[in-house]
Amino acid sequence: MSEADPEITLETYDKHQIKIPKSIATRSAIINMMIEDTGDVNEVVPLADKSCTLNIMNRVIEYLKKHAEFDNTGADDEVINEFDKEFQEQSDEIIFQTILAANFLDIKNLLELMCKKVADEIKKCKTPDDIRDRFNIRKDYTPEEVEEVKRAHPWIYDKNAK
Amino acid sequence: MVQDLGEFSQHCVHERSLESSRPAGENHWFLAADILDLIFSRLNDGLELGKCCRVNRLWSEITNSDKFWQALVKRRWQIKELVRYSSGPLASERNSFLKKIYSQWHRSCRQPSSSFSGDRYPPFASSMSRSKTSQRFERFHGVRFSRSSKRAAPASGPSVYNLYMWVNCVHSSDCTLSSSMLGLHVVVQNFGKVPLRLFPDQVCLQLKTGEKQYASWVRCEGGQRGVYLAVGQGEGVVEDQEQLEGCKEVVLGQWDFAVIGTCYFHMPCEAMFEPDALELCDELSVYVERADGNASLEAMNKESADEYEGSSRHVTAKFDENRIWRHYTEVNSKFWVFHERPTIAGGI
Repeated sequence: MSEADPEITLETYDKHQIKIPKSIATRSAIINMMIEDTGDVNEVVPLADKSCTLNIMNRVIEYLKKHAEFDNTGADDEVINEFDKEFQEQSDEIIFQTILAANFLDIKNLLELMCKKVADEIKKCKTPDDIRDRFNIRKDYTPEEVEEVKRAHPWIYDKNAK
Repeated sequence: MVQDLGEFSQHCVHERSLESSRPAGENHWFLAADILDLIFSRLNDGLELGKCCRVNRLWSEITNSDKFWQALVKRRWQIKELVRYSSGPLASERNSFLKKIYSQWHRSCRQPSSSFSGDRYPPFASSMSRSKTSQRFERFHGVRFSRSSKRAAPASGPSVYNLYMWVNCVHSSDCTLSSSMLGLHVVVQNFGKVPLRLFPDQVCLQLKTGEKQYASWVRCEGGQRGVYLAVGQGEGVVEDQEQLEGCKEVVLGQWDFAVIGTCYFHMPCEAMFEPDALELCDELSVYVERADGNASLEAMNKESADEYEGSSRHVTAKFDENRIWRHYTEVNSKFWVFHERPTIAGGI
């Protein structure tokens, strides 16, 4: 590593250490702030959020590195979209943890990307029951409550009533 | 990448989630309120958000928030700023106030979505009187809405019978020009209380030159001739294509709309491309009459009595040049492409 781009050591929530170039690390607004606070690039940066495990951080760093590369080479939107699309294709658990990590680390485009993925999944579901099935959510409404919300805004609850 | 489930759930329990009420084996993470906030703000249709309302209590609580519905109301009806000038009981309700507004407007002022893409498109020509519409909205729960100045007003007089007509020209399936035939997708909706009889084969296009012509033929989305009527007001839209195929008249109750289909008109030969042809058009009219027999003026208030004067009329939609050209860009002298794919739903 050149002197202009020293390595930063991150400590994940499950106590693993990852070394990454500063230019990559500072793409996260939070890490950037923490480095500036200490003013010492040799100090280990602890990631206190539960989502920042080794697994997830490796993925987040992969994303950051790839996007740093795209920015430097001025890659086509097509190439970027393809990478993003592939990056989105993960299990629900990983998607969720990546959202939490991106939220904690304040990486806007990653957060946007993963939330978009979940929103798209919701859009694919035709009825509330489909959503519950898809994401394994328990129904805590009583039948009376269901009727009540239906009555309140009938059009919302009828997929045909466009 | 495979992770121990116990460890996973430990990570994912959110402080604000309903920890005690959670059964084992449930996907816990979807209960995290912060994350749901982020996700819901990326849904851009009221129906999507409406589905989420019904998933469970937490989702319902979050999706009732005004911030999502405000964004949707602004987006769909192209409103720049929402101004609240009265503090009635409804207006002071913290949540779901704008959900009610969205719901109300959706019912009373809806543009059916394109069967081709499923999106709603802003119409090029509209018979809706702008001032009247905004008055209507202003009356709703004492809220005043200032419209975006960017949006060109559909130039038209007051529409008789409160029948509104939209001409869609945005999507290629909604507006085509080939062999000097211009195809326009026409939709009408009855906004008033009086049922109206509509004669779909009486669609008439007037050119700027003053020349008038009736549609040479009408094609429905399913490839059939004639109109289909979609009836519904919350109970669901019934599309009865078979029955109405090739029919000469349909009766529209309040809020009902009829998709007349794509009407084809002869164009002068100088029109080479769709925007050229649209620019030659002045107005489109359709013949309607009251369907309730006698004019029972007592039943109507004074304002609407003026609108219902007479027993039959032509409802007209004026073409708006500014709007036509906003959607096309010149590439070179021979080709036109869509300038932008409009995503804002066009109720008005």
